[in-house]
Amino acid sequence: MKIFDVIGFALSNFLRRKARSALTVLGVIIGTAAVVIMLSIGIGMNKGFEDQLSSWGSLKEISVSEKYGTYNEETDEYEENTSRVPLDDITLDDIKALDHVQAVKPGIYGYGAYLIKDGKEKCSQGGIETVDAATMADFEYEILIGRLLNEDDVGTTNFVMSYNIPFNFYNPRELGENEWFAPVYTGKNDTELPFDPLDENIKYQFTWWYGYGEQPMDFSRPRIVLEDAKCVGVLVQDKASVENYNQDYDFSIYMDGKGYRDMNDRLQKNRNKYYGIPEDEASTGTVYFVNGVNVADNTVEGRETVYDYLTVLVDDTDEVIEVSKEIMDLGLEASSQMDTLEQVQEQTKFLRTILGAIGAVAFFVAAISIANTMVMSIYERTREIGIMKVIGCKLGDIRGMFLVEAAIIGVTGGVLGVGLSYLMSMLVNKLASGGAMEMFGIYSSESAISIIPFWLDIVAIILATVVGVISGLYPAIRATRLSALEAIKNE
Amino acid sequence: MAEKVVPTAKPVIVIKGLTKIFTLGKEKVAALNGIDLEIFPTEIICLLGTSGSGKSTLLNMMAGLEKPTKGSVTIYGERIDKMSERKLALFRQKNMGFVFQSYNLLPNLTAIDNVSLPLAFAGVRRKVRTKRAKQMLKLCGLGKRMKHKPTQMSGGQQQRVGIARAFVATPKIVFADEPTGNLDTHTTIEIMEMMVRMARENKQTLVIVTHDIEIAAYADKIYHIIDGRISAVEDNRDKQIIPASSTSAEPEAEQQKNEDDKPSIRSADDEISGILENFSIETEDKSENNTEEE
Ligand SMILES: Nc1ncnc2c1ncn2[C@@H]1O[C@H](COP(=O)(O)OP(=O)(O)OP(=O)(O)O)[C@@H](O)[C@H]1O
Ligand SMILES: [Mg+2]
Repeated sequence: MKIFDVIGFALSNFLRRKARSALTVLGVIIGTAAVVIMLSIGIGMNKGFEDQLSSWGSLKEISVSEKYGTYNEETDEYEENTSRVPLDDITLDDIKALDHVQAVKPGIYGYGAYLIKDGKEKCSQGGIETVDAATMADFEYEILIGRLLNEDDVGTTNFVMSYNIPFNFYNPRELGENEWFAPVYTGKNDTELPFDPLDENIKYQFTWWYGYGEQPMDFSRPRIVLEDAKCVGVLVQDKASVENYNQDYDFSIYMDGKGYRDMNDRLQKNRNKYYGIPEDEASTGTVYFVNGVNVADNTVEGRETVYDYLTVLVDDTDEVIEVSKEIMDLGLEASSQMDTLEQVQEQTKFLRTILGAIGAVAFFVAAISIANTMVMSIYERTREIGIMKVIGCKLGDIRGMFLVEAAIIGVTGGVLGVGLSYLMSMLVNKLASGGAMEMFGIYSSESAISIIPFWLDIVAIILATVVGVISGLYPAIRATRLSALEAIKNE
Repeated sequence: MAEKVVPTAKPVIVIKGLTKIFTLGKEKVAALNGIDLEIFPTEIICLLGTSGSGKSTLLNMMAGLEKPTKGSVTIYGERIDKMSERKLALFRQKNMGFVFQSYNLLPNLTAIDNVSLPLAFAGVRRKVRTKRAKQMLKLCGLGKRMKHKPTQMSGGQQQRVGIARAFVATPKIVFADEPTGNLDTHTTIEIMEMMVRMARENKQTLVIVTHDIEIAAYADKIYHIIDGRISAVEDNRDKQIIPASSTSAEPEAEQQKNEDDKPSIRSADDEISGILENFSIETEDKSENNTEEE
C-alpha cells in the first residue's frame, strides 16, 4: 500500500466519527496546553530570578577577594591561610590571562577621601570606587551626561559621579546646632539635577580629612592640601551594585585605580605631615585582623595587597561558573550572581518539578484517552479489519493506518493545544500582572509569570505526536493480531 | 511465484489428508476427516454438501484463514498451512480473490473504492486503480452505481460489487462461499453466470461452496461432502450449464442503453491486461521491499 493511501485511510477514519475524534483531540489539547503552561511558568520564574539578580549586578561578573582562611567543619575551627594570594598586579595579570575574561576592575574601598565642591560644600555620602579607566565601558555603566572614563583617564583623578552625588552636597557650617549629618537625598530619574556637575566653573577637590570644614582650622599645623579633580560624567540612576549593597542606590564616585592610588599616597603623606608623624613610622598598606591576628603578612612571597577586591567581567554568562572555578584554583575567593542563580534554581527545581508533573498527568490522561478511542474504534471496525486482512491487506499497512490515525489525533491536539496555551498564558500574565511573582520571592522583576519560548511550541507538538503514536501502538498491534476469520464470521 | 508457469497437468491446489478437529471444552467436533483433493488450473469446482458438513472449513483452510489439525494445503508448491500471517497476506493479495455470502463490503466506501481496495493494498496508484475499478463495475452491470455506498444498494447489487472486487486484480484463484446464499433465484442465476464467465475468460480457478445443486450445475467438477469427507466426485462437464454470451449478465436497465456504449468483455479485457502488466510489476516490487523490511 502506498503511504499516501495509508494516510488517506487513517484520515477518513479520523473524520468518520467526528464527535469522538473531537473529544479525544480535546483531551490532547488540554494535555498539551497544561504541559506548555506549567513549563512556561517554570521558565517565567527562572527569568524572573535572573532579572532580579541581574538588577543587583551583572550575571557576567565575578567578585574576587583574598582567601584569609577556611572554616573546617570537622574540627569546628577556623584555619588561617598562611600562604595567601594577595590582590596585586601579579594576580590581576594572572586573572586577565584566563580564557573568557574580558576585563578586570581593580577595586579599592576609597574610604577617607571626600569630595568638596567650590571649597565650601562637601559630599560625605560618596565613597570612591576604583575602576580601570581603560575598560570602564566594558562594564554595565550607563552614562547620563558627559562620558565614561577611558584610556586617557588612566592615572588621573578624573572621575564619574553616580546620579545621587549632586543631590548630597551640603555646607557643614550651615547645619543646625545638633545636626551632625546632612540627610541623604536620593535623586529621582525624572528630576533635574540640582546643578550641572560638568560645569567648567565648578571646582572639585578631594580631602582625606573626615572632619574637614566642620571645625575651625588649626593654623598651628601644616595646611591641608586639597587635591584638584575633574568630573567628566554622571551615570543614570541605578540600583546599588554588588560592591555597595548596603545602600539601595548607587552613591559611588568612580575613579581610575592608578589615579586613586597615587592621589591616596599624596593625601596620606599630607596627613602624616599634618599630624607630625615621621615617614618611617607611618603605616603603609592595609592592616587586617582576623580573630585578633594581623593577617596582612601571611601572603605568598611576601607580596603586598593592593586591591580590596577585583571584579572580573566574563564574556559569556555560560562560562562564569567555569571562570570562577579557575579563579578559585588560583587560591582566591570568587563569587558571582550565577552561583546564587544556580542555588535558587536548585531550590525552585522542586516547584518546577511539581508544575511539570501536573502537566505530565494531564498529558498522560490524554494518552489514555487516545488509546481508549483507538481500542473502541478497533472494536467497532473488527469486521472491516477482518475483511481487509482476508482480501490481502498487509499487516504493516493495518498497523500503519491505526498509528497514523493516532498520530493525527496527536498532531491536531498538539497544534491546537499550543494555540490554547498562548491564550492561557496571556490570561495568566494579565491576571498575575503586579504582585504574583512575589509568591515566588521575586520582588523587583518586571518579567511575565508565563513565558512560552518558540522551542517549547515545537517540543510540545512533537511530544503530542509521539504520545499519540505510542498510545496507538497497543491498539494497532491488537488490530493486526485480530483473527480475520472470527472477524468476518461475526455479524 | 505469480509468474511461475504452471503446466495444465500440474494441480494448482493440492490437499492431502486434511483434518480439522474443533475442541469445545471436552467435546471434540471433527469438521474435516482426511480430505484429499487436487484442483487444476482453470477448473471451476464446487464443494457441495449439507449444512455443517464442513465445506466452509475446507475453503477457509485453502485460503489459509484457518490452520488444519492434520494434513497439508499446497498452492503453487507453497505450503499454505505453514505460512506466516505476513506471507499469507501477501500471498492472498497476489493470488486469491474472495466472494462472500454476506458480501462483506466496507460500509463507508463507495462501490468504486470497495472494488479498488485489493489494488490499493497492492500499492497501485489511485488513478490507475479507479479506472480499473470503473471498468470492472461496468462489466458487472453497475455503471450507474459507482458512487453508491453498500447501504444504498440491493443485495444483488452488493454482490456484484463483491464479485468485481474479487476479480479486479485478476487473481489466479477465486473462492466463493455461498455467493448467492442471500439472493433470489433470478439474481442467483445472474450472479453465477457472471462469475463463471469471468473465471473462464480470465482463465482462473474458481472454487464455489454451496448446498444448492442448481448452483453446482455450473461447475466442471462437483465434490460431494458429507461429515467432513468427500463422498463422491462428479465430473459435471457434460451436463454443465454454460453461460450465454456476455450480454445476458447485463441487468435490464443497462440493456436499454445504446449497444455501442456497452462495454464488451473482450475489449475491456484487453485494456485490463494492459493495466495489469504494469500492476503486476508494481506488486512484485512492493513485495520485495516488504520482505526486506520485515
Ligand atoms: N470455530 C468453530 N468451533 C467449533 N466448531 C466449529 C467451528 N467452526 C465450524 N465448526 C463446526 O464444524 C462443522 C463444519 O462447519 P462448517 O462451517 O464448515 O459447515 P458448512 O458445511 O459450511 O455449513 P453451512 O452450509 O451451514 O455453512 C460444524 O459442525 C460446525 O459446528
Ligand atoms: Mg458454510
